Order: sequence, then C-alpha cells, then structure tokens
Amino acid sequence: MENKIYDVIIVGAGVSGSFIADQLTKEGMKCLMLEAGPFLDKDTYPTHEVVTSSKMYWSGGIELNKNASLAFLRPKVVGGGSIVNQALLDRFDEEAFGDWRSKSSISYLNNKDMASWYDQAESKISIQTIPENVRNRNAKIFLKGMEQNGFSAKALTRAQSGCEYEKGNDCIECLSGCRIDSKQSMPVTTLKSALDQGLKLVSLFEVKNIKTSGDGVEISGIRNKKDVKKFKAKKLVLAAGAIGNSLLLLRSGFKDSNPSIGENFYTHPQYMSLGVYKDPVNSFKSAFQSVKSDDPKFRKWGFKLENVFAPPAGLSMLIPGHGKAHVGDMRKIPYMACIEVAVRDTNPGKISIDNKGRTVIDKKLNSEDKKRRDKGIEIINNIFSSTGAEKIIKGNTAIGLHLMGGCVLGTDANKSVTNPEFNLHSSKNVFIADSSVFPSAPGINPSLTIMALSIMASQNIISGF
Amino acid sequence: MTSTYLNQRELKGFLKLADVMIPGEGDLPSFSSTNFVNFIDLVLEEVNDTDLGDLKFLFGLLAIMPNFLIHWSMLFVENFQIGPDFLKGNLAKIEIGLKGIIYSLYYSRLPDHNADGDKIFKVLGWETNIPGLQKQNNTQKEKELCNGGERPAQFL
Ligand SMILES: Cc1cc2nc3c(=O)[nH]c(=O)nc-3n(C[C@H](O)[C@H](O)[C@H](O)COP(=O)(O)OP(=O)(O)OC[C@H]3O[C@@H](n4cnc5c(N)ncnc54)[C@H](O)[C@@H]3O)c2cc1C
Repeated sequence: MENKIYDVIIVGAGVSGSFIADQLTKEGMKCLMLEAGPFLDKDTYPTHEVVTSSKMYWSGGIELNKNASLAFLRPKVVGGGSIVNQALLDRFDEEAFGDWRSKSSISYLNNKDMASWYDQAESKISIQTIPENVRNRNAKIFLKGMEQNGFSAKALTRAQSGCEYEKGNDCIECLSGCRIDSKQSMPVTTLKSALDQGLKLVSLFEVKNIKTSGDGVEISGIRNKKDVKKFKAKKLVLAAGAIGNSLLLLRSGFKDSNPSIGENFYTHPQYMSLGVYKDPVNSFKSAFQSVKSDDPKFRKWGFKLENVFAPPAGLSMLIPGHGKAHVGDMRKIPYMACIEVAVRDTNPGKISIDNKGRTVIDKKLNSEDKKRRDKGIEIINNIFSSTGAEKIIKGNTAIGLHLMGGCVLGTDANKSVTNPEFNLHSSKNVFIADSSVFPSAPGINPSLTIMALSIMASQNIISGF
Repeated sequence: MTSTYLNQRELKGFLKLADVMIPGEGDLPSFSSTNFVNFIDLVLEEVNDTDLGDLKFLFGLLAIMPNFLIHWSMLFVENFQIGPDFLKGNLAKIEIGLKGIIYSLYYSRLPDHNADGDKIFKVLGWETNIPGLQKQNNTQKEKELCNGGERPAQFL
C-alpha cells in the first residue's frame, strides 16, 4: 500500500475522468488517475484492426447482452471513448432534458441552466463543422436519398482541429486513434493539461475494489494483470463509464445501500445497412462521416439516421453468412454505401453480476423500440432504393456504442444512485458524473453533455475541500 | 503454428473451421494458406477462462468433424430463429465469437510471409491513407505496447 493520501482518486481516464482531472489539478489538488487500458499516442495507435479491437476494448472487442442480440463496444484505453469514437458533438435539446427532469426530479437539467457548462466544455476543445467540399459519395447518396424522400439533413459538428482532408487524409483510420492529433481526444486536450498540472496517471491498472469510510476511500486493483496495489484518497471520482462504474460498485458490495446500481441502462442500439451500387462509392475515403439526419419528424419517431462506415473486419461482422457468399459480398466493399439507424431506446436494461462474478447485461428492445428501429430501417431502404442501389444488405449485428445509465442521477435514493450534487446517495466521498449518470437515452450524441456535467461536478468536489 | 492457449489438435480444428468460413476464392487466399493463425493469441489472451475452455473444447471437436458437417453446423447456427431465448442467445454468442476471431484475423492486414494481408486489402479495394505518415507494419510492437511495454506507469 502506498502511504500517500491523495486528495482525489479518479477511476477511468475517459471523457469524464479527464475533464474532472483537468478542473481539479488546476486548483492544485493532488490527484491520481487509474486506467485499465494502455496509454498510447499518435505514434503508437494500432494500425491493424484486430489489435485495436482486442487491446483497446474490454473483453477482447465486444461484450454481448444476455440473448446476444446486441453487441456493446466498450473502450479500454487512456482517453476512453474519445480515442476510438467519431467525436461528434451536440448539445441536448429540451426534449432530452425534459425527459431527464421527469425521471430525476432535478430542476437544473434544462437548456438554460446547462448553457454555461456547455460553454465551458466547448472552450476546452476545438470544434469544427465538416465542410461541404470533403463529402464523399456515401454522404452524397445519403443527402440525395434524404431529399428525395422528403427529409432534411445537415453537416456534422466534430471535435477536431484540422483533419486536412485536402491532403488526402482518409479519416476512417482514426477509429483506432487519430494519428495526426486532430481529433480532440483527451490525451491531446484536457488530460494533457491535467498531466501538465501534476496529475499522476497509472495506465494498465484495473481497479477491482472500493472501500469507503467516514474520512476517505481505499482503492485496490491490479497493474498489468499481475501486481496488486492499493491507494488511499480523501475523495473518489468514478469515471469508468456506464458498465465499468456499475460493475465496480456491485463487486464492491454497494448494492445494499444503493439498490438501483446497474438499473436503467441504455445504449442507443444501432442497426447498419449497406446499399450496394453499380459504380464505386468508396465510403472509406476522405471524411468518412460528414452529414446526419436533421429532421424533426425523426426526433418525434424516436431515432436518427447516421451516414457511417466501418473498416473491413467490422464490415465482415455486419455482412451475414460465411464461405464464398460472404467473401463475394466483401469484394463489393468499394461499391457500398452505409446508413445506420440509432434508436432512442425506451426500455431500460440492467447490468448485474452472476454468482461466478461474471457480467450479465439484460437489455432488450420493447415493442416501441422495435417500432422505432423498423421505421428507421424502412427509411434507409427507401433512401437506397431511390438512389439506385442494386442490393441492400441488412447488417447482421446490432451494436451499442453510447453506453449510458446504471448509476443514474435523481433525488430519490430508491430509484437513482447519484444525487443532484453528483454524490453517490450512500457516500459523500464518492462522485460520479460520466455516462453512467444519464437517467434515460437522450437520442443525441452523449459526449458533450458528459463533458458539461463533469465540469459542473468538479465545482462541487472543489468546494467540498 | 504455435499458440500458448491451443494445442496442435485444437489449432487443427480452428483452421478447419476458418477454411469453411473463408475457403479461398480466385485471388483471395483461404484462411489456412495464410499465416494469420500465428496471431491467434492476440485475441485469445483477452478471452476469459470459461470462454477459453469452451473454445478449446469446440476446436478439439471440430478437428475430428468432416468439413461438410462444420459447414452445416454454421448454417444452422446462423439461421436458428425459433426456440427458447437462451438457446438462440447461446448459438448467437458462438456465431459472433467464432466469426469475430476468424474474420478479424483475416481482414486486419496482418503481416505474414506472403504479404497476404496487403493482397487481401488490394483485392477488396480497401485503400486508405494518411499521406504524411509512413504505414506502420509492426504488429509485434503494437502488441507489446498494448500489453505494458509502453510508457512506464507514471510516478509510481
Ligand atoms: C466507436 C464509438 C464511436 C462513438 N462515437 C461517438 C460520437 O461520435 N459522439 C459521442 O458523443 N459519443 C460517441 N461515442 C460514445 C462516447 O465515446 C462515450 O459516450 C463516452 O466516451 C463516455 O464517456 P465516459 O467518461 O462515461 O466513459 P469512457 O470515455 O468510456 O471512459 C471510461 C474509462 O474507464 C476505464 N475503466 C473502466 N473500468 C475500469 C476499472 N475497473 N479500472 C480502471 N479503469 C476502468 C475504461 O477503460 C475507459 O477508458 C462513441 C463510442 C464508440 C465506442
């Protein structure tokens, strides 16, 4: 056991952990950050997809729900989701906050009160709108199809500082980490400043157990799969994400005092479809994602459409079947366009552990969620058909990238885990402000709101010292 | 062909399955004619003990199954729609798990003796660039970096 007592230990070096570390170290607080994944940078991000999936995600790449109908991608790397994500940033609308207020009974969850926290979050990173002149044919097909079917779309806003598409950069590569440091991942933004301000970071350290007492917290875990270590601090920030936080609290025996841990888990389930065209589409060239649906009808119907693509190994999992038929479809990759429907899911899932300590994720679509999914897929099919696709391939695997809930915000300790001041209901020494506190699925990209909530929570942590 | 996790019989079973999934066609090599099996530990070292035990058992079984039966079994697993949820779920887990290993090894442009990874990407027409950077092709280094050979834990 290290003798030192830190002011704050932060578990998880992802979006929330990095934003909080930046705020606390700026105030001179002594902070230790523990992260299970490796600390890579632009010179060391993997260039082979199998290395990315097996070494930068939990459980070797994907985790499945109970009936294997949903595959969750949970990042495990210093920088968390900000390393591998698409960095699309959006503020929530009143529709999302309204739902949060009704679930949590927390009045500050509204656009007006959140505006200054969003402003502060946005000031920490460079945000750009993807210019029209770098749209590839995948984007053009999407825009044309949306227009022909009477729906509106618009350019994406992204956390990037200069992707230099005009030099021929194909940005799909940055799904394994941005090798030109344009994407505003945490290690080039808030985590960098936190480290400059004195943050201590231990990578490849998996936290296994948390103990709280009146005057502090004790954390134990394993470094590099072999060395057991313990650390002490006055306060603890849990920033291990929706699944990570829930598992840690469950394994550390907090369920009795916080009965809702692991409940209310949402994922914006995503269903990708591929349209195969006669002429090359080359969806992997240039800014591989540059436009999105922007139709008020979609918001009402409970989904959004995204114009995406995936690298070859990812695509191979989406394309159904095996053998020569599968290889035959793989050969058509340059001729494929791709659109996904991301469902704003209404049916809460549950994260738990079985009697052998294994993770169990019970997450299903209810009839409303299925209706949303099917409506989205119907529109995708119409877009492909109206733009001349010769064949439509319905993706084999549904994925969850926006993992939210499990330690949700609320005033009622029986229905929520985190109180309005971002404390665990049962402990004044434990704070949470990451994706696990989301009371429901917003149907909007979550990162910017995680950043805003994390800055807000930091003020509470600082004022408690 | 060696692995820390699979014995020779299990490796043989894995390769039989991998060839049913990727039999080779025209200018695309079959899985077993590449050396990608040498990278299988990259994936297996992240698999938990229970799942690894199940995989070893399955690969051992596949080693003695005729190819047509492996193909039929895969068809069955892929198309199983009716029946209780837990059975559907377990079959889907097997399908995703096996495809995940085989496809991600084959479609990751891994370096091997014949530069098959590059050839496959060429046939697929997959050409992405960041012109200012040199293409890295050092999988061993990538693996080491991710397994702790990177920056030292800071300040410990
Ligand atoms: C492929 C992909 C694309 C995405 N695209 C977008 C997008 O365009 N826009 C958007 O807004 N969102 C996107 N997301 C989602 C977004 O990245 C996440 O919502 C966000 O990163 C969550 O932030 P967080 O701080 O809650 O957790 P994370 O950023 O996931 O960080 C949690 C960290 O905690 C670590 N951890 C977990 N358990 C432990 C433990 N026991 N011990 C030590 N460390 C632990 C993890 O390894 C991880 O690094 C995407 C996600 C993925 C996977």
